[in-house]
Amino acid sequence: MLLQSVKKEAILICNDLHSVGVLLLLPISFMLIMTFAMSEQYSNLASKMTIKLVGQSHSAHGAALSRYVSGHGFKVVTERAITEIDATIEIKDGFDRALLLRSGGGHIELTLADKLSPQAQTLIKESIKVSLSKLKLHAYMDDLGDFEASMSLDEKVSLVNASADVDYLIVHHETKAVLKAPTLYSVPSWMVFGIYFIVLPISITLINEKQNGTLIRIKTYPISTSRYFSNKALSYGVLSLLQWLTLSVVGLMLVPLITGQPMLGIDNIPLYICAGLMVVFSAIGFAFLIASMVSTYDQAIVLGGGINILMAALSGFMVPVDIMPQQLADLASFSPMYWSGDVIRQAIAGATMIDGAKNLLALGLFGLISFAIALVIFNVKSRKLLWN
Amino acid sequence: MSQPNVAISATHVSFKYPGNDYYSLNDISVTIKAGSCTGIIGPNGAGKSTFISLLCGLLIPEKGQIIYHDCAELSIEQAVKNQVALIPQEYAFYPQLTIKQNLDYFVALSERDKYKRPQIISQTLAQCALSDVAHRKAQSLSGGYKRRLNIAIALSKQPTIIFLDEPTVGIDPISRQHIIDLLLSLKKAGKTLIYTSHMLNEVEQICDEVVLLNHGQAIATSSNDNQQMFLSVEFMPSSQAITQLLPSADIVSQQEGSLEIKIKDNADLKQQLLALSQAGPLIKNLHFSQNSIDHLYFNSYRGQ
Repeated sequence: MLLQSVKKEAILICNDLHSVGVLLLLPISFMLIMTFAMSEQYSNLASKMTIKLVGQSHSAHGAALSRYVSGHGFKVVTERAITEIDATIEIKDGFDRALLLRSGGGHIELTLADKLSPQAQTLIKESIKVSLSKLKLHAYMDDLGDFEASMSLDEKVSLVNASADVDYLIVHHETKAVLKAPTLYSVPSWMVFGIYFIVLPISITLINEKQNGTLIRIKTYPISTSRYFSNKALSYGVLSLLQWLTLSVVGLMLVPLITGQPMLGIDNIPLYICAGLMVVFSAIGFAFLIASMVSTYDQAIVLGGGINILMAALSGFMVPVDIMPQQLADLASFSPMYWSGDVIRQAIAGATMIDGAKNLLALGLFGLISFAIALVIFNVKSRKLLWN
Repeated sequence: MSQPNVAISATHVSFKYPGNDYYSLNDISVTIKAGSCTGIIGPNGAGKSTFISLLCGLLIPEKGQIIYHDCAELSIEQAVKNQVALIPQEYAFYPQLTIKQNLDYFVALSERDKYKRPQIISQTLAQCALSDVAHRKAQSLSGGYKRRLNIAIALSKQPTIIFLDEPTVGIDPISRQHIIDLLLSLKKAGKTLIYTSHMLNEVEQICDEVVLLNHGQAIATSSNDNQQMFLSVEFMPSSQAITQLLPSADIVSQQEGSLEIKIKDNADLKQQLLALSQAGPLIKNLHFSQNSIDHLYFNSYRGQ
């Protein structure tokens, strides 16, 4: 019976291109796109941006500032250059004097292009602050006579950079390359996203069965509606585990290969297996809850798809939780997608079973409660089914 | 109490939907004989769906009793699971699966012995003339084949009672005749059929008994055992006095220029024809018919 049920649901999914797209192609595409997007480093980002220096840019300190800013990777141009500008630094009169005297204010005016993302704006602002700090050190050293008279501006800038170096103060505990890889965030996130999208094929199958009289026919078979529903859930659970395996192989091996990132190994295999089972369990429970509530295809797409997308956004799949406002970040910790992504990352990064237990427990409870509610709704709705 | 040769009996059954202040079905008593075909007919909203839903345990009657006589000791729900198969009007199967895969699934659902399933499937395929197309996807089949698959799934459950809802709707005459022949063969094999349809000629062809519902009540019944004959008379509209020639006739309906007489027997027929012969050229047309469901249907509603 279960085998026939799995076979039937597998054929239904494989025959529906939309389902295959949603369950496999969509998460794989997202894994690739987001990994590519996240693999862009700050230095790469800076090299794509152009900063224009205007005003007293040819003064003694203006020229040095230009070198310190370009030292961060930005392309720096003067006012004569005609190019697309990301930021403009206008050096006002009296800047050279004000730098050391700390008198007055507003000697530098920074204008950022509207098109810049908040991250790029932050990068420019912070880089300019660091450049100005170095310039100030430059001015002090110049004032104290630390530079030899024969030194060129480039040599002075090198000396200032060396003097401002603080790396020797910090001891870096080298983490594994994989823990710094963007795939550690993109792969689990979009894998989970795909798993939760099982809601659409499940909803569509249940709607079809109700609308074409199959469900009413099944009511005359020697199987209770609860057992039928549980059997269906188990069948989709098996298919979802296959989806999990496929996405794991693609996500852990193929995506890093294609995007040039380090291969994602699984450091805690038992935790990864438990994570797989619990993520599938909670996704199936949630999917059956939505499927039991909806009556039309439109409702299934809007409610099933919509909630999944919202939950993914809230769980930090689109914008990392770290940079969310605190209230939103707190809310994320109540999302099953967040627990799912987190426990997979834990397994890959080598956390212990105890570390992952909180997420596993939360997923298990969520799946259980969702499925229990779904079963009650399905039974109530089935009792209302009539001939025609 | 269990009765021999009776499949289902509904006694004084009434039903009211929650929230309604009127009965959707009111005091209906029907006996469905085992191995017979009973037609449940009536216009839309007459209460057919509610009645069938009650008969197959989808609803519970508020008053009265429904008994499955072969499983009188069981609840209706259990009796239905043991004995009944439904054939809804819609294609109640999985179009993406082949005919064989559909049957595999539904036979597995019926919890038949694993080793007997292949035999049940091949028998059903043969019975419904589907063996040649068993490996075709249901969605690629013509309407006639889809209707047959709808029936085949029900038969693969090996029921003794089958509820059918318009099983021939939307198909060509040859496919329709094939299905009618199949249903007649099922009846011959001792299956009890309960048939709802708006196609009265089909109901007449297949059913042994007919229950006519309207406004939640059984307003008429007809069976092959009490066949009735009717004589329709068309006459010149100016000849209203023609009824005076028929003092002993049981006139069931009368309109300007036409009337219909219920004929008791051959002697009555002879008597009425002799009486009408006196009217001579005033008679435009005479038509004799026997036990027509059309008669029952239209005359019953005319009388409402």
